[in-house]
Amino acid sequence: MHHLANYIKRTIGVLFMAVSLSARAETQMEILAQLQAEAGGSASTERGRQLYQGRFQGGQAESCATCHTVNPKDSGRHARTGKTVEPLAPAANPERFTDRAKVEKWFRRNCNEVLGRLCTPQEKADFAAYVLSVR
Amino acid sequence: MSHRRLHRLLCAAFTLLAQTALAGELATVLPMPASPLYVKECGSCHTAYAPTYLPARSWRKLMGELERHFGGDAGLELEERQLLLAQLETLAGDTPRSVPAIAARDARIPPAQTPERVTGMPFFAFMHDEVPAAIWARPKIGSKSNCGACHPRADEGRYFEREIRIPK
Repeated sequence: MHHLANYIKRTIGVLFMAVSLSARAETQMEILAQLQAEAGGSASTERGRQLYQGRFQGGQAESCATCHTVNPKDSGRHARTGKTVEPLAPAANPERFTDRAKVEKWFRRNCNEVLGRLCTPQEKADFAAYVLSVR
Repeated sequence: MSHRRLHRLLCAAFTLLAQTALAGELATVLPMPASPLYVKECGSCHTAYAPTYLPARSWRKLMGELERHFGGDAGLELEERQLLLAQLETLAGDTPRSVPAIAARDARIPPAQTPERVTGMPFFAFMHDEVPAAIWARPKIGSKSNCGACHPRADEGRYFEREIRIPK
């Protein structure tokens, strides 16, 4: 009986781990789909490109491209510290857009940094659509 | 004095000498927070500084206002913030875990002052006094907070002189 209970516990443990691992490894397309759903269903790569490449006055940095470079596949530099910023486009850096919490955190920080406000769900969906479309 | 006590004294003196950066070198690996979150969060925009570079009160101030962090938003969830601050406080410059050469300089800062910039600390100035402005201005260095430009393993607390690589 004791062995059986242990076996069941272990099995549940392994199953739980498998579920949480797969939950962590969201795919870029899943994250884009979530963002798109939150934006009411549509995303535009062209609007995303304008947001990424545009110059703004609301915040500390002028543009997303200031640190992430004009080509999202290139490594950039942090505008103030000079630290290398790994490429943002998954085409060059498969780590990107695989963790929803991380995506949200950086939208919050960087939208504040460039626009001086949070991004709308539509802006996030457009932005992701553009960066994921870069090949 | 017994042989054993002499031995212990000599060992202590040697360690102190080695750590005191008499030769202008940090001869030990500086202790880093155990949580991988530290390098992941703090190290994404600048070097993940060794906690010993600032006194505990500085870490408390910085971690208390991450949403306004040198002109940027470095906000963290409360839980992450508390976890990291606890580790920073344990290893801060004015704790027993610090490097004596750093602790001695920190001790001279009036308690009412709370320094915020690692690069403005007396120890930083002391260690870099021979670096000319022209080197700091090199594009691949960018700023004084980009330790990793010249100390490739700074995120691991390693600042050994023999590992310094100054980019052209």
